[in-house]
Amino acid sequence: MDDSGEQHSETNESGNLSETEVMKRILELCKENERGVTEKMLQGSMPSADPMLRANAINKLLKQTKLEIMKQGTQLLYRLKDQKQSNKGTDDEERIVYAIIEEAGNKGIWSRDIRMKSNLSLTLLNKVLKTMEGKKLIKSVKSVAASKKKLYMLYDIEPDVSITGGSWYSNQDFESEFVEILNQQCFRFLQEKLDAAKISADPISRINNSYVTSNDVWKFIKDLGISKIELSITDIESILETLVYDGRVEKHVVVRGARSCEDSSSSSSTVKMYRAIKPLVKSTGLMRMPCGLCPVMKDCREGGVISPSKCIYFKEWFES
Amino acid sequence: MSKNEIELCAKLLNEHFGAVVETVASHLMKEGSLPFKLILASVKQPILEVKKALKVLIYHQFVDVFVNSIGFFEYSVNIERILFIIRYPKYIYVAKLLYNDYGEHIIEELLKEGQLTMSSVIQRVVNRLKPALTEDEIRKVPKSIFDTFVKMAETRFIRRTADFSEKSVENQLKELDDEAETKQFEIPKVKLNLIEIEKDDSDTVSSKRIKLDTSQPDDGIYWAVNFARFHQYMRDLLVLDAIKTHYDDEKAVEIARIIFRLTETKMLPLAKVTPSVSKQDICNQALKESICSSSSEVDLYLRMFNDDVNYRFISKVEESAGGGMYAINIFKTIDKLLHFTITSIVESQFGSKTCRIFRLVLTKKYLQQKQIEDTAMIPSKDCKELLYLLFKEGFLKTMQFPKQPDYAPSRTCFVFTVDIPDLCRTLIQKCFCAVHNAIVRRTYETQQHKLLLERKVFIDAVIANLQQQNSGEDVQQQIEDLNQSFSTHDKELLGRIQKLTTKLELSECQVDETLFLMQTWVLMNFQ
Repeated sequence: MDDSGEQHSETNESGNLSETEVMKRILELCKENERGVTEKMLQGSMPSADPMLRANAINKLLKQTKLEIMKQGTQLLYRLKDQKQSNKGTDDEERIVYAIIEEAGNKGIWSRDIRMKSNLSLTLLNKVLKTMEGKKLIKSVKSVAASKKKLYMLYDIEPDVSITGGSWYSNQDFESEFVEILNQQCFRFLQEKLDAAKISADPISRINNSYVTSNDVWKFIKDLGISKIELSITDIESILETLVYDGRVEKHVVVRGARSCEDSSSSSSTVKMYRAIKPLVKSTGLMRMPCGLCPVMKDCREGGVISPSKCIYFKEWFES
Repeated sequence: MSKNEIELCAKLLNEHFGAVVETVASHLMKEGSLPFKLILASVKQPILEVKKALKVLIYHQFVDVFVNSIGFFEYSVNIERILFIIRYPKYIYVAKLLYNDYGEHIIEELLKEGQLTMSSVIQRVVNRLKPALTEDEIRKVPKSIFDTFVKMAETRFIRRTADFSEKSVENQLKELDDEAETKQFEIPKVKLNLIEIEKDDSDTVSSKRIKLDTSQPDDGIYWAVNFARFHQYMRDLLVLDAIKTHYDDEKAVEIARIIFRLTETKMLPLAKVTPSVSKQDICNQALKESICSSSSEVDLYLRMFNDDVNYRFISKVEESAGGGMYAINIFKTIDKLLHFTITSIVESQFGSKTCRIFRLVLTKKYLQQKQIEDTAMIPSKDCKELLYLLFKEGFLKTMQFPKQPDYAPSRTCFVFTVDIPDLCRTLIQKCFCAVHNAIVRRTYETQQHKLLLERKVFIDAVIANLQQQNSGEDVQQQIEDLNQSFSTHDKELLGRIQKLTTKLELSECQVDETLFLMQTWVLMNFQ
């Protein structure tokens, strides 16, 4: 089941039932027949409903754990999930732990913190957590900040960006190669713009034409198709930011004016512009001789074990 | 003065002025200021030698003389002045750039002797040029040298040091401070006809004439190189260079040069910003020199400078009816250059990732470890490693912000920051060390092959002699034989030493470029 399908069904009423109504009907039907409802019975009760719509409704109910699905012979049987029954196994401990985890929200909570808050013993808590995980009430998530730490949160909650790490992480690993490639591609784009702007006649347009908005870079990266995941403009901006700190790009913020980009959805009235630059200093004189890079400079003195006259770095440097 | 500086000074003096001068200066550096008797006692050299060494040091302004409270003369070393020796090639280059060959020769003579009277400078330069010129040409030379000299004094590249013509030495020392600044550049009278211009072999007439009237009117008025002015010019060159790299546009550089030229006379030596120039003046000058085709083009460039908020090398300082006043932000440019230099040092020493972290802290000033990890987009494990590497090497410093007054580490915020003045001084010391090492290595290598090098010098001299005498067939044969006296191994060795010496000398100059930038920054930052 995907979101687009759901939206589609809600808009496409065409005299038929909407999804929520279908869901309601299914629940009613299940309540009437405690032993279960077959596909045929569903079809019979609402012949006007589209099978797709019905399937979607059932999927949704299953996800909400209001229904459970069983098999009888060759056909499927839907039955109302007994809330009381499902809570039958939950004792007081589970309820306490559940409350603690629920409180933590999408940030999750570390098992040790649960223990501190709940005052349960380690073995008991582990058992409770395991059973709750089995019931799909909670799930454990690994944080990027501390890979050994297991965080617990409610089953249907999407973990926070600070835990998953956002676009730059896959399975707790920082994708430094991916970042590196994006970094290079963004710079290439800016560099090309800079070269292209050189032909402009007057000095001001030469500079202005080499400026690129973050939106342009985002489009370029999207068209390039190097990213499997969807990157947001903020993601691209943080990549561009790394280029600024590499000293290869300068950033400029302008008020949205004539040069603004089309999308009016973002609320800010400023646009971030980027431009490739040449570093003012390429290599310094100090670094062009071995002493600049020498790791044992502190111990180097005339007459010592390490001395400029016997320095092997000098020797290598002469050969080069 | 640090240990590195003292060691470097000793090496420089030894290389250029010999061992006795070095020992005298080393003692003075160690002891601060000393009267002559004490120098003599500690140096343990013959009195004449010490006197001579001291004379050399005073002549070159390496040593200052002052009268102490009891009335004795005391001598103290001026270390900064000695360190300028590394920069001598640069000064000569600048002089050549601005005043052609005559300027070059004048500065070379002044640097070689420390200080000279105007007439002797002209005499020495004429002597230098004599062999290469014909009789007719040489007659015009003294006047041209004189003109160049006057020009250099006007632009303050050279200055008067002491005037022994009228007063006694004691008066000189007392009145040195009271002397009006303008008098430093006043040109004395010189009788150009006294300059010997005849070739050596036919100077019987002139020597007679000199005997008749030997004294030049400027006797006792000594001139020396004005290093501060040279540094100012070199600093301006750095600024122009930065503008050139940044805008990649010759016209932009030319406009900046115009502003420098227009403000040259009004400029204070250590001002952070040039005096402001009106747009009108810049336009007029640019059109006169046909750098730009119209005043609107100049206007475009000026606007471009002013709009470039990240760099702002040149900015509008005043809004007035005539289109505003513009000035070059010298210190800002030097500051930018320094930032790039330091980051480039970090980059070549630790790699680009580390450089990113460093620049991040440099721009944002104060950052916590977590913030650095997030913004730099480097995996947190690597980031920590690089961050602490920078910390260990002294490029980053931490600051503590305790949440409670007990400074307990668990309740304290640690932020990383860059202490630029401190880092700059460390790097300056490193530069001194590097130059010192290069000199040591160079002398070591030449010492190792001393015999071979001496033989080479001797044989070269013999060959030159032979060539001067005649150029017959047998002479060619003799030269060939002399050259054969070096084996292939020797020749290879000589080539190697030659290459290595040039490489080391070049890197000494290059390190000095870094050094100069940093020293200028420190000087301007703490004035």
